Amino acid sequence: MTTMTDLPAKHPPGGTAAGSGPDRAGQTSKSRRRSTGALAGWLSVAPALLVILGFTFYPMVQSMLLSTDHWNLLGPRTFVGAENYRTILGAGTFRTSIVNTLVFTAITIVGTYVLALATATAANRELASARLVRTVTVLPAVIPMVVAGLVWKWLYEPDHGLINTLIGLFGVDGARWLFDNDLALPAVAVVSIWKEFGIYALILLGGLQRIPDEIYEAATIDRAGPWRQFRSITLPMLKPATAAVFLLLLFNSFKVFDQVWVMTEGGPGTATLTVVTFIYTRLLTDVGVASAASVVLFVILLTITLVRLKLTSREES
Amino acid sequence: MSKSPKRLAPTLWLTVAGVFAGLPVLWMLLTSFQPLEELVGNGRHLIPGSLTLGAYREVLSAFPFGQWFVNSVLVAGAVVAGNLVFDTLAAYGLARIPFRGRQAVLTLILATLMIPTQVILVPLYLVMRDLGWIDTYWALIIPFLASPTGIFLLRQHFVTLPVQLDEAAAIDGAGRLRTLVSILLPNSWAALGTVAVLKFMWTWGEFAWPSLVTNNEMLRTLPVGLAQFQNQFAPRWDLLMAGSVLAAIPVVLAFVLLQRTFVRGLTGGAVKE
Repeated sequence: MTTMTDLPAKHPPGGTAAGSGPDRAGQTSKSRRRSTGALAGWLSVAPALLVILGFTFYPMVQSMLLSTDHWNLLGPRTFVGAENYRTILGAGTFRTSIVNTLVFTAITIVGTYVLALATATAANRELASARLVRTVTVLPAVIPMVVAGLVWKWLYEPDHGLINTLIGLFGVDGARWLFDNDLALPAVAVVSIWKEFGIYALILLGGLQRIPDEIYEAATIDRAGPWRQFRSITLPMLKPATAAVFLLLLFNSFKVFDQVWVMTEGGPGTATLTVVTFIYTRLLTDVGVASAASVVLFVILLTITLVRLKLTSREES
Repeated sequence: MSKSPKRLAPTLWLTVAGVFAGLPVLWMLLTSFQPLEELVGNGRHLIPGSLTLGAYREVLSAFPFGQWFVNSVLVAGAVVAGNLVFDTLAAYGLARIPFRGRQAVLTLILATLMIPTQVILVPLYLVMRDLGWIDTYWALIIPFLASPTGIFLLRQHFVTLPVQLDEAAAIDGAGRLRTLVSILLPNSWAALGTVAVLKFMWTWGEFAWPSLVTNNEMLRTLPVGLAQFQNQFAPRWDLLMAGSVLAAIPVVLAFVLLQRTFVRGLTGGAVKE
């Protein structure tokens, strides 16, 4: 506290020396500002910069170096060039994880977007109940993914879970969900859809509310029906929000890990093995291969981000 | 009359969406209060026959759940505090102090925005190992004390505040730190709240990293403890759901109390209220 109150005292109280000319006093304080600018500037960013350089940037560089080595953490570390990349891109498991991640991403994006758009459109018409719905639909987003994964694992449980119990009411036998080779991946994707669609509905609602009412009024006068209005006005006007949602979903879906690990650990077999799950299982045993896979994932995420930046800068200009 | 069918469809859909979002949460709560025999016994029940606190008692006594809770609070609290201080300082410098290299620092920080922890798990683990931080709180806290997201959000906010505020403070003889603390921060509660809430939520839910760097049971955070204890007691859904409720309560409570701040953060400011 004392240092803070002392600080301003260092600047000479120019008022008393007013006779010696305000110009000179002004100049000293100006040059003092400038000379302390560099120091103050670097001091202000230093702590954050150190953390980010040391624990994000340096590891990222290391990741690239490690990806050209062969190492199991215990034995010697040897340089093998592009071999790890050849291994993962040539062999089955990593390719499977890429395909699984793409399928997961496609299901998540389509499912989330459709649900979110329907919810946003409905909320836009029916604002009275929208508040309550907002609270309920956004709630899953704040619940930890591990908890979400466990809850859904229980819902999917073949013999006693809620889903099969409800299906059983109709006299039909439910599926084995997470234990089924074809259903496990979509079942895991549903957790992401459930968790995030409320947030994306809000983003889309923001976009909907920016469309001027006059356009709809004019369309109504021209006798355009609701479906026609939706197709010719809503969807085109919603394009920027849709692009933002799409890229955000794409970026997040590629990083999927928590619920997969908790629900299936990548199984049955490799049915739900995603890229990060692949990395995680080889992390401490095959550092080079895990690093090469990380670099591939980074390149994918980087591409997505660059497209995103390009879109936002175009939108701003 | 002509309006009612038009309003029926949206209301109907909102109900469906609400049930889809809410039912799993409700089911988690309900399961946590049911005796195990009822959950996995013969036949299926949609309506619980009896309610009990047994699962909560067992979870709290048979596992160091209290310790995991404390760990989660400690780690999330430290990360939030660190981000509020370091991100604010950096954002202020990047928004207000002209210095050589500022643009380079800004570009670098923006570049790290696209490096999620998932991509650097391997090398970051090695850094922790070299520092001797495996199985310590440091590994859970220090790497996350500052974040590009926080700096970015706060800088965006500071840029919108009029420079005249700073100039007026300077005329009154206030130094930079004083200006930041007593002039800019009181005008930034919303932005600071957004950063705090986002960091808290993310850190609280973190799973891959803390389970990688902690082997000691007493150092686990709630999600890590919960996931590991599922492996030991697979069919104990009553215990798992009770544990899940305990792990979810703090964030859910924070969300209910600070809904606006959460929504602002989660939607990245895309929605205005």
